[in-house]
Amino acid sequence: MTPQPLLEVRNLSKSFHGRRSGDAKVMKAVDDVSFDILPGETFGLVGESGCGKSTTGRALLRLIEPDSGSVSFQGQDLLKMPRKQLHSTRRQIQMVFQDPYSSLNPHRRVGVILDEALKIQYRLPRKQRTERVHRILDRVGFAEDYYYRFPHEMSGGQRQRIGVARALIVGPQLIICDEPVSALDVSIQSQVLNMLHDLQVELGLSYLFISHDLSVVRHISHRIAVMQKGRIVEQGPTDEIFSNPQHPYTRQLLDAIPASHPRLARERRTALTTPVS
Amino acid sequence: MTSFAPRSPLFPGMTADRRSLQLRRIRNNSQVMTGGSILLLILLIALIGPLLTPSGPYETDTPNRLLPPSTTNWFGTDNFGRDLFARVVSGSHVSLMVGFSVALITSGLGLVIGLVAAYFKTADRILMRILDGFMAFPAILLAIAIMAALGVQTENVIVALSLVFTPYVARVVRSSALVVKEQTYIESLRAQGASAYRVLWVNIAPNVLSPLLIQATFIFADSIITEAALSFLGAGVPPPEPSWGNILFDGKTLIFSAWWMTVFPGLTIMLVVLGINFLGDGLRDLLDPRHKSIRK
Amino acid sequence: MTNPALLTVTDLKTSFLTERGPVTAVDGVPFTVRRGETLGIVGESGCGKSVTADSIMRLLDEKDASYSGSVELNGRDLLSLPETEMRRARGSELAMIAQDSMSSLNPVFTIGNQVIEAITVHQKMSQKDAYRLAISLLERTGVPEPEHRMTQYPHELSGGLRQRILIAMALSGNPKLLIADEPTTALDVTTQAQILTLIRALQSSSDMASVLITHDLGVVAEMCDRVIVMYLGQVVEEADVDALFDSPQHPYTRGLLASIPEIDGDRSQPLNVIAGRVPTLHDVPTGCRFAERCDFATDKCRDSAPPLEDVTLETVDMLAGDATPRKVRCWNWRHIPMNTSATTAKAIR
Repeated sequence: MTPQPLLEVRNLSKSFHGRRSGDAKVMKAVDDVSFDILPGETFGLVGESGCGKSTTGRALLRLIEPDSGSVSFQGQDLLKMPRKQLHSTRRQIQMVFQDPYSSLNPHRRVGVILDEALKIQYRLPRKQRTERVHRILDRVGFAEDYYYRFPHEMSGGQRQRIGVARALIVGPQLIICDEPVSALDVSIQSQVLNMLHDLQVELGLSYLFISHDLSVVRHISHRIAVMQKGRIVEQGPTDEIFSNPQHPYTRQLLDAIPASHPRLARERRTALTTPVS
Repeated sequence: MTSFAPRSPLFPGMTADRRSLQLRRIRNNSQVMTGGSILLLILLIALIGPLLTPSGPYETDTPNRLLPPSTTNWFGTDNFGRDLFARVVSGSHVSLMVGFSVALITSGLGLVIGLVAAYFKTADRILMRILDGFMAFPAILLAIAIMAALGVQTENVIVALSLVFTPYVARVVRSSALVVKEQTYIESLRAQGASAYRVLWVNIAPNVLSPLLIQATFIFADSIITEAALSFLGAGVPPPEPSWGNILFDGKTLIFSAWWMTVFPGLTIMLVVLGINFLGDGLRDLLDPRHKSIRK
Repeated sequence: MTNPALLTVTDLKTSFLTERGPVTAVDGVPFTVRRGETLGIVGESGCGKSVTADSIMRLLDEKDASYSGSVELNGRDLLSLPETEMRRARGSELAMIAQDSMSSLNPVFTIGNQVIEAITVHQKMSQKDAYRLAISLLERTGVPEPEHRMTQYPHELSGGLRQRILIAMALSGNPKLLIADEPTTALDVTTQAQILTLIRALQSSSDMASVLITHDLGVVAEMCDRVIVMYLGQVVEEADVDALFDSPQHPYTRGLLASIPEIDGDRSQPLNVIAGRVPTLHDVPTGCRFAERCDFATDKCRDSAPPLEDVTLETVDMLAGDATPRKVRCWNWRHIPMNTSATTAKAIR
């Protein structure tokens, strides 16, 4: 028996109209997208820029209002929910953004940023809030004095860990990660990826992991959906997608990934230039 | 690595070593230093000036009318024999008070209007059209019209100038807020479920304070000039209370026989406005990230 | 096989005056590029790789940047050329393509205007000839419908097409050296693969050398003949591309290679993490610059800075047959066991 999905997305669609009103040009950013995310699972959403993967992530949280479809979270449809109820559901679904530089308010200390996230969702006495902020800082690997740091005093990787802490502090079950490591250097990228993995194991979190980087998505995801021009062209377990891609676009994407060793790169080039007899 | 430094009021978001860097940047900024020194000097004279004058600004001394500058009457005397230095000093109280009040009021109003317009679409359409209407009039004409409606009184000068200048501040605040609004941390707050109040007043507002401060200094200078112009035209501070504008007005007919009656108040206005503008330009260089010359 | 050096960079130092005092962003960098060769410069942000490129082109504002050392192109030192001659050299002897294709093109002029301008800056020819040359350049760089593209504006084209146009402009003066600063970082994988293929094809048909600056070791594997790895303004390792991937010597290079999730790697293992963060240029460590993040650091590493020394054949057997010299900046490279880097994943600090 398969477990009950945490999130069920069905026929989600969102179109954008041309800049001028009455413009006939309609861009289908998200076109009839359906997928499930199971508890404790990482679901990877890959595709190239403009394929609608980020719009999908935002539409789930209604940061962009989708045109049609349904998004049911623990059996309740987020898209039909009144604003009040949506507010408290946001405790369960949080988001981590791509750019760690613009995703933290430069005028606020780290402790205040985390405290604010808590204040938005819970009515707690200050003492309890501060305690929780310190606990979460410790969990993402910061010493106590980071409470008083400003974002500009931290590196990109450290900021992204604060971004994760801000999502974690309200106790979510699902975190939507929109390109969380694409702005980071490789050695820092691995810090954040390992941390996300550890947190998942420890807390039973689910992730919707949105990225253009197939190697990263492969490393962290249990299942993957490939998006092209607003549609999901293929989805399935990670190993199957990578070892036996069905859709030509998926194959095209996989072929474009740079080789991990120069010898492999040369072999592939000679294979491409010598015609198959 | 201790980061318990208190917040610096001028540069929020700064710890001790960064603040000393900021202080060095201020000291190295010749415009801020020159402008600041000029203003400090004028302020000092405005404060201790009354102790240095031979007679009060309202004391007439008909036998000694229209005396040229001398060691007793540094700026000379006017057509009623009043000491011109005393009148310019006393006028500085009025002018600086008007300028400061207008800068303060327009900043407050401009901040509220600009932020609300930046965040709410409907409010934006309504508010911006009203402000456009205000800005379609030349500032001085609008000020005269408002003065005519309200009556000639020092307090009304402040009201009129505040009405005239608020749109300019609101526009600056709105455009900076629109930029901040697009930042990811604002989207993140919405994703967390933050209220409009929290987004706007707790998170966007502090980010527009630097452009607001810069704009306020220019409004300060502009309102001193406009107040002088209003008083010169007889629609500003009512005589006999001296203001730089109506001292100029008194000297207008005597410009060829008593040059000191126009030159000294005129020079004072110029100096103050120059000082404020220096300060404003310098602050812009210091606070505007686009003008920053920090490299990695 | 004797291939004379086209570009020889010796002890290049580039310093900036900042408000917090002077910093040396590039600190004594040596390398050579031979004809037709592709040299990769890899490193993370802030390592000085882009400043190195800008220094070779002398594109930095010389009011607050100063150079020392030498950059010899065909035996002529670019750093001591007068600005007018340097300007002539740019575009005709060496050309550059940048990462951001949108801001590298002027949004108010058509593609045609800009390509023709790039041509006529260096070559005296009629508008008609320049137009014809522009079309042929666009054809060479694989731009479809070149006549139509000439009338379009930058924002009407995709990122990949814009990058092709920039390459066409860079090729207009037949440069002997092409410097590409993260040419595909802003592009999607499929477009990246196309652009990389294009650069390689252009190079093999014209014996043009190139310096490819990138943070992406995959791009290095695809494109480069030789690689230098930079860390905090210095070269820490130089090697043939195969040798670098087979047997990285410097702990930093090893850590970097092990921290990339590979498309065919083992997913159950956590990724390698290089602990700590890159120090700022304002407080460069006295000893080895990588010491505080290095798993193998000794007291010697922390106290004195290692030189960039030759890796000799006697000490590394597996390099037998490797013609070009390798260099590494590490006191302990002889003693660091192979294949340890992947297992040294530390807890996040």
